[in-house]
Amino acid sequence: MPHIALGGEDRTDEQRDLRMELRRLLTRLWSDDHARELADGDRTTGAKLAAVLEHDIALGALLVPEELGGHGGGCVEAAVAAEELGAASAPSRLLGDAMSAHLLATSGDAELHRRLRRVVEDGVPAAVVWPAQDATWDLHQIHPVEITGAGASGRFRYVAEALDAALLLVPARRGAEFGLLLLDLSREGSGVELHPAKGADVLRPLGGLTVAGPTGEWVGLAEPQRVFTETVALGAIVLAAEMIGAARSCIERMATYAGQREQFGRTIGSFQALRHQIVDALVAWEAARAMTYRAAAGFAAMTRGTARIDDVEPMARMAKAAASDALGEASETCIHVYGAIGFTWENPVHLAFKRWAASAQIFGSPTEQRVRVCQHAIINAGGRAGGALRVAG
Amino acid sequence: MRSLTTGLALTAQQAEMLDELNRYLDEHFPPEHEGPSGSTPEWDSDEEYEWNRRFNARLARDGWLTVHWPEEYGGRGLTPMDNMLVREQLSYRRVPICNANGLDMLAPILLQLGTKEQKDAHLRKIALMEEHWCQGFSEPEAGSDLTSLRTTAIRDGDHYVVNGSKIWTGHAMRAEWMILLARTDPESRGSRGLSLLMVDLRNTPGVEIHPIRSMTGAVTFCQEFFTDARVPVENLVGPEHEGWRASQRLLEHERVRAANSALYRRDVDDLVEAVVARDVVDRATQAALGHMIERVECARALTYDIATELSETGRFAPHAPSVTKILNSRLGGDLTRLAVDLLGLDVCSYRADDANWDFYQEFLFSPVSRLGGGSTEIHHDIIGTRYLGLER
Repeated sequence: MPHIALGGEDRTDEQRDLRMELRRLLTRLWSDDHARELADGDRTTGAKLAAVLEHDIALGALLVPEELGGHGGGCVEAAVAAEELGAASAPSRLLGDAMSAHLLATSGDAELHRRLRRVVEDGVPAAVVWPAQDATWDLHQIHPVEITGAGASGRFRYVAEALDAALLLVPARRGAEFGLLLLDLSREGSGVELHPAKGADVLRPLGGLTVAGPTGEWVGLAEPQRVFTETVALGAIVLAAEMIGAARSCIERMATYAGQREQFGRTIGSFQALRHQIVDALVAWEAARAMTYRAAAGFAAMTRGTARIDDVEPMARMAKAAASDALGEASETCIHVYGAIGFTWENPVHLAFKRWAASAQIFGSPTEQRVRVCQHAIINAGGRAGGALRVAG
Repeated sequence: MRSLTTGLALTAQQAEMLDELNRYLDEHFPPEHEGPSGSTPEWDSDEEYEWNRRFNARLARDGWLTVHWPEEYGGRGLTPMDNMLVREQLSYRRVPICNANGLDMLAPILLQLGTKEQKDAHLRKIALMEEHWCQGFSEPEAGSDLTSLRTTAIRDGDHYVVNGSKIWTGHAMRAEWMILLARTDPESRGSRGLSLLMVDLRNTPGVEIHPIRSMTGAVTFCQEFFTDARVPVENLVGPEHEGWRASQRLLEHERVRAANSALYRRDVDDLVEAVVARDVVDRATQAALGHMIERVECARALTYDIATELSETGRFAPHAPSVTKILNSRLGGDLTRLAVDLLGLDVCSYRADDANWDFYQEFLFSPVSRLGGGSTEIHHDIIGTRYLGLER
């Protein structure tokens, strides 16, 4: 299929190389047929891709600092990888890996740093257990696992990428203290129950988790709230970039199809009413993509110590909301442009349509993000000197 | 006083530059001269316009209006990105920028295509507000279909003789000069045979300027009539008969101006303040305002990308100006209608302390944003056909 190359330039050679390497690899290993097999329930389909992503390019080590044995990449590199994986409708563990790496690295805890080094060395699939339906990104607003003398107790209805993880990083509370419960699923037999949950996105199955009894390993955190808010913000940016990729694929597909399919003796893309719908999807996508990489660059600056989470958090929220809308519009318009073919199982657009239904909701719906962006602006407005508005007499 | 955060990793030099600019504005720019978004200072009263023209000249003298120009023409030799950061702050502070056609459209073309004599004659005067420019493109019979324009400029010795009419010319009521797109090859049709000419409106016999009163109540446009108006040959910009390409570049510069997005950020911040001051803000209102902030910040992110690209490579993606134009023009309408919705019947009397604007004026100006610089539909076609490769 001829492709229209969408998307702006990467800023560094490393980012360009990562994008190109992933594109080559995904073109070779992951076709629409593979995605369909996965959608048909064949859980073995992604195994080869997963092995190559893990062993050949060690995607799990992308965000792990070099001194802990990783690639030393930042949020922008995570966004690049997520966009390409999303564009290919490829399953991956990028969300869980990225969030786990950031959480363990930014904790400042020597024991957790050792743990992260082992995760990279042994290729341990890890996931952060943050309630997927939470929009607050605030440790004090969720229900972490409670740890008492009798052991741990907690329940999460939807968690992303936990089902096939070997290490779970669970927000936990012991008395007045907040921290982490580490669950090594290769060792914990009793007390941890993971079960598949119904979900829209076959590329990212959701699981439910129940923890009960003396299980896991407690680690107190020095700045638990900051660490978790940052981690969820990173997850939101990764999800946004993945949706940007999925939307890109929809736009490329529908533009190509509209340039080929003929009705009334001319290509359907020559009809302004249809052409403008495709352009509208592109315009929304361009804006959301720019915001996503701006948020990713802001997050990277924060990791380097030159930006604050208070400024990065609203950017991550805006990126997530804009990317959600962009994917919703692109996938729906794509189905429409294809006509009834777009509604078939054979045409892979439904994967993007369904991905929107899940990814737009994980860590808060667009509406939830917008409410919080506004609240952030209200707090800032209160802090500004002067500029008061009034009704003129 | 408030300033705009970029969320970008600025260099120490850039951060210091913006701090210095904000201190400068605190000292020299009183809030009573803050202007409404969607407007241009040329539409204001004579007194207000004169104050702003003088202030703009001062900004230029003090090095704030053309930081990206070469030093020989009064610039600081900085990057387009630096210029964008400065313009964003000026917009956010609601500093009305006069002479936008001269500064942001003609000047980049002169720097690129102009002769040394043309640059020497005009660039400094543009910056210092000694030459105020307008742009003569649209005609009574040529709007979106711009290349059907009929105004002719026929070579006669050392002059072009101009006949025809231009309309919807913003800034013309205050302008001394016009950058005119006219047909220099009378046998030509469409985009071939057009040229760009610089016309001295006030000293050329045969030029008449008629003001047009718009729905806002003010004069916002003019119509000009040319009757055997003689323009010296040395006022041709770029190659003869190839003015369409140059004019496309000029329009692209018009569309990628970052100022709009930053002005909208100020608008939405002011709206948040107004809404908070009135009442408890319910959830639906918070979502609507949050969505508006998001749309503005997305547009800003895109203009940062374009400015970065321009600074690093001297180019930007061919469809970028049209994407930016569509985003900003929709913002202009949606944001002001949200303001009317949230402020209700108070919208006509609601205003910032001491400021020279209110949300109702912005509402009135907003329809222009969907038309000016090419209609939204034209930009859809530019993207659809030239970028996505779809048939017309």
